[in-house]
Amino acid sequence: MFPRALRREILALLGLKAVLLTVLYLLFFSPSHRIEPTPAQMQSHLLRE
Amino acid sequence: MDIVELSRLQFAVTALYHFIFVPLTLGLSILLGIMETVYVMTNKTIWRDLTKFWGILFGINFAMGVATGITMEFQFGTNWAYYSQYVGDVFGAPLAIEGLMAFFLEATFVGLFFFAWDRLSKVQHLIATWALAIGTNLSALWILIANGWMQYPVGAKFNVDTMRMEVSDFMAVLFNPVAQAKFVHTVSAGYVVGSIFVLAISAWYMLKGRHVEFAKRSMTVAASFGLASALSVVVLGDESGYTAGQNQKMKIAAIEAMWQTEPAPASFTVFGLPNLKTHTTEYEIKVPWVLGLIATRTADEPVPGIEDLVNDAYVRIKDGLIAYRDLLAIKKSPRDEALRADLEKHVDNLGYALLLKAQRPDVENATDAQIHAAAESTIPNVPVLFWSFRFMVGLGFFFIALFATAFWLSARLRLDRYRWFLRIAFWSLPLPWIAAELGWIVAEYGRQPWVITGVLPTALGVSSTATGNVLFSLLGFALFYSALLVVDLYLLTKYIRLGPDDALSPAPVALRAAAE
Repeated sequence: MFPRALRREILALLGLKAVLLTVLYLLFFSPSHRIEPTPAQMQSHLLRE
Repeated sequence: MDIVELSRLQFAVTALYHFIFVPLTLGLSILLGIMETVYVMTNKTIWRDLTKFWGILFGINFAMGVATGITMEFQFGTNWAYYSQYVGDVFGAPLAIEGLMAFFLEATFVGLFFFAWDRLSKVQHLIATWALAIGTNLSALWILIANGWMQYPVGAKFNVDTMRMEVSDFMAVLFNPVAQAKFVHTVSAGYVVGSIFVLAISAWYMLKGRHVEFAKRSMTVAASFGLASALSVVVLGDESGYTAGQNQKMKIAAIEAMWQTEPAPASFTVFGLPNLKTHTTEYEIKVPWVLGLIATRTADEPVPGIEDLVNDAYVRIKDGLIAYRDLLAIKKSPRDEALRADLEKHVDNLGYALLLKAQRPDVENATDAQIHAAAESTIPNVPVLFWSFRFMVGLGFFFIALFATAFWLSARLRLDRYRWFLRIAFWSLPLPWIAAELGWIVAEYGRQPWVITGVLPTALGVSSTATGNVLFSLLGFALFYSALLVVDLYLLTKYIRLGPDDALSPAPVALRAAAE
């Protein structure tokens, strides 16, 4: 639909963006960086401790 | 203020602030598509200039919307960890799809819209502009699917082993009637915001005698699109009223300050002074039948009042207590199938039992008085809902009158003749934002005391974090967002004052500045 050069540029930028977002996720937001309540913690939060 | 109130305040402040930018983005994106379509069809360059100029204002607003939206998503993890854990399996999917759509689909076409005027053919650029508009609106759809689920949680089941809600039917989540009604109502409201923005600024140009031909064309597009949108907001708002009447009866009763169930068909209260102590609404002015028709679409079905709904909540809390006691027992005997089967029977009301957490930690020992108090706590803030709704609806009808007048004047080529109308159009500029924010207050404040209606009380969704942390981030947001608002208003007014000629050709401006 778009000219080939522009298509390549868009794909390259989208690829770069996906890589950067993945790096950002791995550096700051992956499970090892999160404190997620476990089912046991959830249980004691909702039910009587 | 405790941690719950502070976290709620922070989310409310950031959400209301974010929603300053969202509706304008939604509305302007479609208006840009319309203007550029006219350019491609007529080949008149003034329409390309129109698209580019309103595109600059769209771009400033878009950037602010993105910046303020990201902080909202982080808050689910930082301030609402228990909420995220409890319903993340359901809520996370639409939120993630929205994030991907905004970061890839929307952002790509925003780039093409701004930087590919000379690299694409006219039709190709038009396709990019419409893809931007569609992408923007699809982002809103996914957010409203997530929000709709908070209002009416369908397609999910409680899993006793993981202690959270899990998706059982994704199509039910996707086609949730509350979400669909909210989506069309909200995007239509965004179109009204975009149309009044264009109408008001164009009126200002005409009052100043600047860019008159440009302003006339802008007003013509805004008047016709705005009229259709303003009518849609009312019609689709009626659909929202119906879905709320079916699924969030307490919200409807609170909006109406309807303390007792009225015989069918219920009347609509135009004016009144809700009295929280006596559970009455003083000086009521009522229109017969209207509420019954909106909320039930029948003439023989009653709309339940607040006191009857509190009694319903009392019954549901008692039933939920059975589920709660079953859960406690399952904790001790995890493999007891009889307990699990009994829990299954009562689990739909487990959320109601959790309301008792505000009364005492050992919920299973709650007294009758405490169950009554928990049932009373299901009443949201009646006066706030009552007045927010009426101001919002009043503004909605004003917008129809405003756009109808603009449409009539533009059809008769008389837009520049009546300065009184241009002044009204200009001073109407802040009104659609007020209406949109009031709409969110009705939707979200009316959901209280629930974060997920009937499933999880708001107080139980908050993270276990120090009050000081939330206070610190709240103050930080207030300062940072105030600075952003100053920058936003500075940039918008700068480009509006420059006008299309100078804003679209910076070189002459720079040369003139150098000469001066």
